[in-house]
Amino acid sequence: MHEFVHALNSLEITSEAVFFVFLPALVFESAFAIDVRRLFDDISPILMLAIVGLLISTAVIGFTMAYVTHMPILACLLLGAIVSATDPVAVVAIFKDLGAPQRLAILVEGESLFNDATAIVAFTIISAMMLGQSDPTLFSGIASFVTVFFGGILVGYVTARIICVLLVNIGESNLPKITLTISLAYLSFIIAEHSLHVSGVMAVVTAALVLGSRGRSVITQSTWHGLEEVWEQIGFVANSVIFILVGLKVPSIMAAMSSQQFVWLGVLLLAGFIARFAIIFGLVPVMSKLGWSAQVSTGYRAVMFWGGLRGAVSLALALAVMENDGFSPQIQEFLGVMVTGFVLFTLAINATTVSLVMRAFGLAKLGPADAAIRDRAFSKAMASVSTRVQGSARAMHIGEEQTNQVVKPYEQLIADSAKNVTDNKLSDDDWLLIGLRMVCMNENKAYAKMLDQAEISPDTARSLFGHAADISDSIKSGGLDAYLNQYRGKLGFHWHTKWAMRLQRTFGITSLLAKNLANRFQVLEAECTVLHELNNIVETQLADMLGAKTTDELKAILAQRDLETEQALQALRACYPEYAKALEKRVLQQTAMRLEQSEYKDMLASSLISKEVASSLKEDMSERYQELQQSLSLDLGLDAKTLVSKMDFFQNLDQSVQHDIAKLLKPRLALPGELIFSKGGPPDAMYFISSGAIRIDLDTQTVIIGSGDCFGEMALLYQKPRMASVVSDGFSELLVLHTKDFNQMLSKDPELRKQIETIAEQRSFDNQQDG
Amino acid sequence: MNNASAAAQQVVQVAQTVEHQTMLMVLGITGLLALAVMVVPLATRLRLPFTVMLAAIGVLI
Repeated sequence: MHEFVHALNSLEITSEAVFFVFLPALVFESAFAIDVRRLFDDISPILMLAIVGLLISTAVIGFTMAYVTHMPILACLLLGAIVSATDPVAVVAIFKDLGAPQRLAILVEGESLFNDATAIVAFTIISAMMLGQSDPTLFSGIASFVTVFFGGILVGYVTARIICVLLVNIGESNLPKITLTISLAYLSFIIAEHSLHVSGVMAVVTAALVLGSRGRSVITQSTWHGLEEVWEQIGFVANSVIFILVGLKVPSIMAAMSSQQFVWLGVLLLAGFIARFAIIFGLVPVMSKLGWSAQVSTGYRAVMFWGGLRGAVSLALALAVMENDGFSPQIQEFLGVMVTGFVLFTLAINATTVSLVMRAFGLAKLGPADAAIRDRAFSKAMASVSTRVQGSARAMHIGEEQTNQVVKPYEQLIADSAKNVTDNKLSDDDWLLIGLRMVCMNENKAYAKMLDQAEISPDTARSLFGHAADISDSIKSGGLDAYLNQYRGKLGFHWHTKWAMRLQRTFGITSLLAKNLANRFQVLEAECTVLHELNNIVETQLADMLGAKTTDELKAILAQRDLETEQALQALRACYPEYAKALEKRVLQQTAMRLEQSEYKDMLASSLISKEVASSLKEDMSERYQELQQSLSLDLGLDAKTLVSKMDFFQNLDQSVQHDIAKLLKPRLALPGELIFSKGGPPDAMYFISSGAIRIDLDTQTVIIGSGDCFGEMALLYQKPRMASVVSDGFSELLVLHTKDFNQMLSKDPELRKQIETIAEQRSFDNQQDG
Repeated sequence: MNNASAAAQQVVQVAQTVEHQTMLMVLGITGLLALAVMVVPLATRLRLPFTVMLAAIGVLI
């Protein structure tokens, strides 16, 4: 025991230990646990509080303390920066216990993560000014701040992206992947802070956020759970050690406190709280009014104000001053005592009373929607428990009397909860939105399962997770209409596909377009599979919770979405049947592989085979399914020579003429619904359809033409503006012949000229007849 | 000869001190973690934040 006390006393906490050992782990753990999408929903108030708010707080505290204490202004500003960094650990634990709203937790945690970085940057700049290492001007301060803050973000982003690439290529085992994330936390911090002299905290925050958002598509679900548990454990250990060590340090610092410093501490607390009050109740509402951020309720703001505790970062910064002989002993003592007093006050008073504030504003209670779900969940669970207990009693031959004694209270609870279920004040529309949200959560889980079972690639998984999250967010912002618009929007073509098309048309580079379309193929295939599954989930698992009417409505919405997704997929299948077949074959092979895997697992569980035999069988299986590791590539077939040889239009021409024509024709893929040219447009090219269908919107009618046909020749022959608008009806492979090449080709080949002129005359005649 | 033996003794002493310090550090950290684990149920029972309890224990020690 004596040795243990001696050992504890010999553990000296230094600012370096806090910064390089504890801080990366603590910051990474907090940022990694945050839902990145939710964080970005509130990023404006969070950044405003973390940057502008912290600087305002630093200034208010600094000038007030300088006025009261007559200490140098820079020392007081340094104190302001140190005590303005909030620490969410204690508050977040309270939030978890009381079931606080997720948004409130994210606002508090997000602010704390970013303001730690701001405080450290401000601290570094002010202390450099005090020690005469930099120019004490406002401009140099701002310039350093921007460089250090954004430099940290860049380092964190680059490091995390490199680690994400390594995670994909590191193999199946969980342990190396988890270890790699630990390296990420420390490497990003040290590279930023030590090597590049930018913000290490911002680097770690960014790295954790990037891993949190991109990592899910490169790490399987089981590894992800392992990763979360390991980081929670690291966070627990780091917090435990640091807070006890901080406690150990307190008596020696506070022992030197004089009565005058006691008064100063009172002034500091007052200035600190007034500054925080002004920021939370002044800055945040102004931002909402200006439309820069979503509304933050008074209750949330009250908790954010009172829950702004100070902790490890503030103490570490104070320790850094106390360890640096460049500061005068007077300033060292002043900062040590003030910061420790401030931290202790917030830990002893704010942390222990923040739950009262939450209760006062009703934030510890469930909202009406959650309360209604709770009632239904309770009712469903009680009914199930009652039936299963009776079944167990029969199986165990337990007498009726004992069974009744156990089951009766459940029946009473079922009767009571039935009343609550019918009394709920939610409308049918509310229930539909609740149902849609449940469906979205299940959709996300289904994609994660597909990634786990290697049914989809990491790229496809990333697209699918993004789609599911956007669709889920749309419900929150605009209800059912937004949900419908969002999923329909997702069925369309995104900017990156359009960009890839432009690349193909301008430079003839097809690889990016092929990759995009292959990804679209896999995304649509996966969505169709999951939508079928979701329909079953709604019927079997959600129906009891949501009621018959909502279930029917949900099923109708999902059926419509399934139909539209299937149509989009059919359009692709029609254009690339070979790829569709290869994809289907691969899905079946993956199913076979999974079945084989589960056979071995079952045999091992039943002790039919030993671990060694199972491992040998699995090894053999991996070799047989090696081709599944290679990604499927989509051949767009945009080769002019091949397309020309396939077209009836050019069949009668000699091989050499076909070869010459192919040189003049430019292959082009048109997306469904894409406008090829509009009525009145310039006569710049004519088009041959190699495959697909084209819709020509004339004044009086719409004409559909298909493979082997051509269009746009009349405008070129008669040098007139376009007479109709032309739209691609599905995926169409076209061969484009520009005016200059058109004239060259027709002058060389009178036979072809005649053929085209005949078509043009016939069309002109048809148009006149119809007119 | 005497000098050599004194130097060897000094090396042994330094090694022992380092060993002792390492042992003390390991004992300190592991003991501290054991203490932190015991604080968890206490904090739950007293309805106080875990970190506040840890700091309080640190002050008391």
